[in-house]
Formats: sequence, structure tokens, C-alpha cells
Amino acid sequence: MKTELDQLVSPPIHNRGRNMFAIASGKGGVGKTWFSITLAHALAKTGNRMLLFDGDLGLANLDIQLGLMPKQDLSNVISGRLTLNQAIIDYSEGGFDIIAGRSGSGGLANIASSRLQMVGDDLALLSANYDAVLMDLGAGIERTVRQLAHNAKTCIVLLTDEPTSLTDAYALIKIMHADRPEIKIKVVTNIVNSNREGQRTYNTILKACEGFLKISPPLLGVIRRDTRVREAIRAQTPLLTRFPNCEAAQDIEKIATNLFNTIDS
Amino acid sequence: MRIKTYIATTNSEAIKLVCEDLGDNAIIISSGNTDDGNSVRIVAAVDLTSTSEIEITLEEEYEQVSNLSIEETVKQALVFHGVPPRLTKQLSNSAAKAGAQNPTLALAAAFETLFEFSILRTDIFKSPLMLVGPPGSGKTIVAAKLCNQAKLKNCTIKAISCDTQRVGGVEHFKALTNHLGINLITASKVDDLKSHINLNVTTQMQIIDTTATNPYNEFEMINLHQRIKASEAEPILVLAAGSDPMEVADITRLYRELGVKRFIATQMGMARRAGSILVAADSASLALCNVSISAKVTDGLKPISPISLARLIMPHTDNNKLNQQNTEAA
Repeated sequence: MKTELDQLVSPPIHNRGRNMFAIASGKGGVGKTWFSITLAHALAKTGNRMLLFDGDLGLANLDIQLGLMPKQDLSNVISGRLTLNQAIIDYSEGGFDIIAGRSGSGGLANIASSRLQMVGDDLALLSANYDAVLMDLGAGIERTVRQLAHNAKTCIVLLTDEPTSLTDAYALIKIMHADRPEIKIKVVTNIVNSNREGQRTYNTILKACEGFLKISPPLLGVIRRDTRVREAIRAQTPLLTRFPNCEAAQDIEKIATNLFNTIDS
Repeated sequence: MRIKTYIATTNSEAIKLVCEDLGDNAIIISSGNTDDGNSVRIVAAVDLTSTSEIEITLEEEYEQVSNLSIEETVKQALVFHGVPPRLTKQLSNSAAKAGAQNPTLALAAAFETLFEFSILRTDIFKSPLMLVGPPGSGKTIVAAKLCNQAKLKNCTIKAISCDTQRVGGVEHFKALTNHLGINLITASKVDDLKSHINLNVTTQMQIIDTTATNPYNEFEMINLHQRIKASEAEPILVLAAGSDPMEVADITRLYRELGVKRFIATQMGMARRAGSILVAADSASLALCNVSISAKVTDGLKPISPISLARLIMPHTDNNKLNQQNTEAA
């Protein structure tokens, strides 16, 4: 029989993580970090209180893309010098908060899973102070990637039209679904030539999911190929600051609107 | 999942190629004409690993012990709970030497070695119990919980309040004891307390609630000491979990000088870091008896053991999830 003390040890999480979105891709290099930053920025611009969490423990680079030199980051939290809320950086230029990882720090990837889960739980507690929390997860499908996102209610899977991206995204969806059948999965296709091509790429993954997994993850949006994205990344400036009206910016803003509807629901 | 593109002159030819190559379980993901319009292009996929295989792999993953050593896993958890470096080192070293299979059991073994546990029973009391401690630690609620637990076991109870200096101190306890049908006795002076204790030697349980003391105030501590001596009661320190560990290290030593040997940790339900409890057990060598989770009297006090304390410190250790599943299945 479970005692009250046992229940205290594993507290119920009820609504925790309702507004937490994990952003994953399976394959690396499909624009996950850029997407996370730009989506956080787009949501912040429409008046939402946003927190962007760098969950790419091995190769964190959210701060690099934004040209930040954070004084505090996740490694200080892991070492016990700071609590998670003390590691928050106010990124005033974008109007949202950030918890940075440490770029190139192998140490962060080497965390006890119990500790990782505590960080995930702390993040879920912090999420109460925000309208939405976006977690930029690392590439791959390892347990560390999934464990950090264990409180997220929604996982946004980003993919391109390359076959390797498709198969890796499928593998991620399959394992996420097997591990946590209750998680909502939504698909975003990135770097596609047109909306039609984006829809076609989505149809490919949808057919695989329906055929093999008997699930139909919805399409959250399509992001068209745009040379401005690369320019903005090279300038270490958010896309919405540098090229607020370009095609990719419009696409992300559309996704932000769609996503916000799901926060409310 | 394997994905492959097939180009043939007709649809049926392309599908034949898919079946030959990927087998009957393949699905067509997309089909259409090639760019020049002369041939048919079919993209097909097959998933070689079944969902049940994935589920087995995930189960195995949960069973795996983390790559990190037990010592490091324990250390990281203790750091999170704010345990000071010296005690962290001592506990993680001891856990590493325990030879246990998982970090929680190893930490439990370390607690067993280094700390003392002494469950407070509500049916056999050799001497009166006096609840002492700093302000706001929950002495009155603990007193009421003890009364309630003893009442459920049909013990004869005498409840005494020395909390006469604080406005509403006696009234607070009285409201709780009235509810339990116990007549509360007030003892503002040392002699009053002595006389009440001596009055009825046949009472099975005598519980004394005291005024909060500032352990750094010599006058208050002398007063408390006089009451402990007069009543010949066992002083039990009541400490709120989530207090600053270093502060707790200082104050527990001061209470130890008054003869305190055991403590009850309270407010466990609202503390996420339990470092102060470990520090209290360590710095003043106090034995941990029970814990109080909420301020609800009917919730009572819960016994705590090395293993339940270890699970409290490491709630997410790999095998806990598995153990929990096993327990639920059983």
C-alpha cells in the first residue's frame, strides 16, 4: 500500500506542464534552435510571457545564436550553485526570458537521470509564471532528451523534406508515443520551397504515423526556405528583429497563432 | 523505418518493385509522375521494429542504472537539497561503500550508518513529552496530532500548554484539544507544571506544548530548561523542513545542550529541499523520529526510516519508477 510519505516522494503533477512545449527533431541541423528562438520571439511580440529553455545539454547554443554572453547558465544549476529561477536571463531585446545551456560543455550531458528529472520538475514549477515555456531539445532520441521533456504536454517535431530527417523524425515520434502515449505531437515542416511542398512533406510523415503507429499528429505549420534566416543567424540577431516581414517570419508568426490556440484549449 | 523511392514506367510495375523489395508490410507514402512526366515515382516505407519491441526497449532503459557512479548520483541529489559539502562528502562516500544496487538503497544504507532513527510511539510513553522549538515550527499542531493519535488508541491523555506568553497560544491548542474531547491544562509557571505532572501518574500520555524559544536568547533557554527539569519530560525538538541548513546546524546544537535527543520534522509537504533535516541529524546527532506532512491534525505524524528518507532525497532515481510500478502491480 502506498503511504502518504510515498505520495510525497512522487507528487501528483496534474496540470503542471500544460503550457510546456518540447521542440525536437530527431535529426540535428534542421533548424531547431533557430525555430525555438523565433517562435519564442513571435509569441512574446504578441504579449505572451515566454521562457525559452536550452535543453540541448551536450551542445547548447541558444545563447550563441542570440549573441549573448550569459553570466549564469544551466551548468550552475546542475552544480547546485544556483536554483533554476536564478539562472533565468532577461533577454530584453526579444521580450522573453532564457535559461541558457553551456556551449560545448560535455559535463551537462553527464547528469544523473534523477538530477535531470529534478531540473525538469523545477522547470514545470517555473512554467506557472509564464504563458508558455519552449524547450529546445537536443538532437537524437536518447533518454536524456526525452526525460528533460517529461513534463511537457506537447512536443513539436520539426522536419525537412530530406529522407533522413523524415525517418529520424518518425523514430522520435514513435519512441515518444510509446514512452508517453498521452503527449500531443504536432509537426512543423521547415526549409521547404513552398507551402504545397511543406504540406507534401507533412503528408509523408502523416502516412507513416497513420500506417504504422495508428496516430495522426496534426500539422502546426510550414516554414518556407528563406535566405534571410541564414543572414539573421550569421548576424546573431533574431529573425523577427532583423527581417520582420520576410516569408519565414510570416510563417513563424502563423505558427505562433496556431500554437497559442492550443495553449488555450 | 526504412524509406525508399521507386521509379517505373507504370504504377503496377512500381508497386511490384515495392513488394519485392520491402515486403507486404510496406506502405505507399506518396506517388506521382516524375518531373519529365514519362515515368511513375512511388515513395514507400516499411517499419522494421514493431511497437511492442520499442516498449520492451524502453522498459529495459528504465531498468538500466545510470552511467554515473552511485557516489556521484547521490552527491548530485544531496547538493540539490542544500546539504553542506562536508556532510555531502561523508554521505556519498558511505553510500558508495554500501555495495547497494541502486543509489536510493545506497543512500539509505549511509543514513542507517550515520544517523539515528527512533520512531515516536503514541501508545507507550515512559515519560511526558515536551515539544520545544523555534517560533513557527509547528509545535502545537504536532502536540494535537500526538493527542489525536493517542486518542485513537484509547490512551488516557493529559494535554498541558505552557504557551501562555503568546497571544492566542493556549487558545490555539485548546481549540484543537476541545475538538478531541480533551481538557487542556494551562501551566504558566514552573511550579504549576510540576504539580500537574505529578497529579496523575496513571495517565498513559502526557503532552506538553511550550512557548516558542529563541535558541540564541539565554533567558528563554534557561526558562525552557527549568520546565524540562520540573516536568521530567523528554524534550522533543520540532523543526520545520526547508529551513536554512546552516542555521539549523547552529540551533540544533543549542537545543542539544538542553537535553534534546530526538526531533520531528514538520511542514514536509511544502519543502522541496530536505537538507536541513539531514543537518539536524548530523550536527547535533539528533535522532529523527517522525515527520509531519501537513497542518491537518487528522493526517497525524508519519514514521520515517532510512529508506523512506532516502526516497525523499532521491525521488527520481532510476529504479524508483520501476519499484513503484512493481508495487502497484503487486
